[in-house]
Amino acid sequence: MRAALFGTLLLCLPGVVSAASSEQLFPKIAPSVWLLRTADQAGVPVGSASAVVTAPRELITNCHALARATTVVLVKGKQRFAARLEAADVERDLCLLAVDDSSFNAPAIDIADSDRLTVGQRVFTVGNPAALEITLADGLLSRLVEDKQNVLEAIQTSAPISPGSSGGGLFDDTGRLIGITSSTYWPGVAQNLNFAIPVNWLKEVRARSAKQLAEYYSSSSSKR
Amino acid sequence: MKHTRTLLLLSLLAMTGCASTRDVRPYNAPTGSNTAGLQIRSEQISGYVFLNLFDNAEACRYPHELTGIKDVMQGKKINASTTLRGDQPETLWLNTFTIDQQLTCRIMITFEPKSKHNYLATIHNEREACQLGLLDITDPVDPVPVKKQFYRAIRSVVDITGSHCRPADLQAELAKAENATHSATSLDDLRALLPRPARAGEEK
Repeated sequence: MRAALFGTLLLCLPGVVSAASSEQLFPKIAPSVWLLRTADQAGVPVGSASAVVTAPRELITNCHALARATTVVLVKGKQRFAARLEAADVERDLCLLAVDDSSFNAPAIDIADSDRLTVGQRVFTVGNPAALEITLADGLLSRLVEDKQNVLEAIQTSAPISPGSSGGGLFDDTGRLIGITSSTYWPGVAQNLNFAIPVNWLKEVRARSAKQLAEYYSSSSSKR
Repeated sequence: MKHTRTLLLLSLLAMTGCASTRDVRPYNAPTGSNTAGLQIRSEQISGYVFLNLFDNAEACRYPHELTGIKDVMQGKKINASTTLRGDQPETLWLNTFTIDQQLTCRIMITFEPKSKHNYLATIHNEREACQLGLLDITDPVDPVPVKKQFYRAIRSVVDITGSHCRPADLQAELAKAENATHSATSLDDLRALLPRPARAGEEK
């Protein structure tokens, strides 16, 4: 009986995820979060935002962070990598970037299940607010915003999000990605009204992008 | 020094094609029951901020100044309120620029304020980015982001008819925005970055 119980525990152990302190989390998360700079055709800066590495040489960010840009560059310290748009789900504001340079070896972040979140749990944001490179902040998961079909469509958090944090990560207390920080409202009456896009939507970016692009190109060609 | 700054400012306005003092007129806020309230707020701004509204929301013609250069200078906060026409599309145009960096930021959005509702336009501008947020604050305890809004494609040069943006089917675009889950960004905004569609017989 004890052996059976011990065996069960052993099987469970690899799945156990324990909370880490913020000091432990930062070095785990930071290598996967990059500053993103965009520029127009003339090389004039359009904006800055954040992006999170979710697979080898692939990063997720907000599409609004790329609006009106011609070039996208990922920055960390003295490192610079050109990125290209791989897929765009503009309806959900999720854009996938790819880096062709094989020397880009930033680690992919661990990803949680955003359907298993709890209001009140401690969360962390890591991004580049106001173009400050890699900033850690914490807060609570304030509300799970659901659509009419009770499907999670946004995560509201009290963790600070600023312009430049767009496309950064919202993480649980084990350092797993739970959302992509996307929007905030300020100042005065709307303090701590910050939102992230559920990470589970990442799985659908490519398929939804293909559909939206097909419609876009078909309507563009019919207008010609 | 003061005159130098004003001259520099006016030259910048001319160069960037921002709201020129020539065609932007003061705003006469509507009154009556078919109006919506609009509060405009910002944190301490860097540089200069203009927020305009068009008589013609569809083609972005005949701009009016909601906040003015006299009020919105480096280091100040915006805290203003006015009224908008209710139940019809309105187009807001945010222009910010910095004197030191000579950077400009322009955002134009169309939304449809509901009569008797109150809205909050939040302006944020920094050296590298600017943002215009819109909240429905009719219930001040539960402010709701305005979903039914979309970005306009701004013309780099005003056309012969005085249009500052590419005309759009406002009702269709607003309906699309309302049904979209998150973003007011369109694929048009990303067109310089979009993957090229594969032609027949071409390998991906």
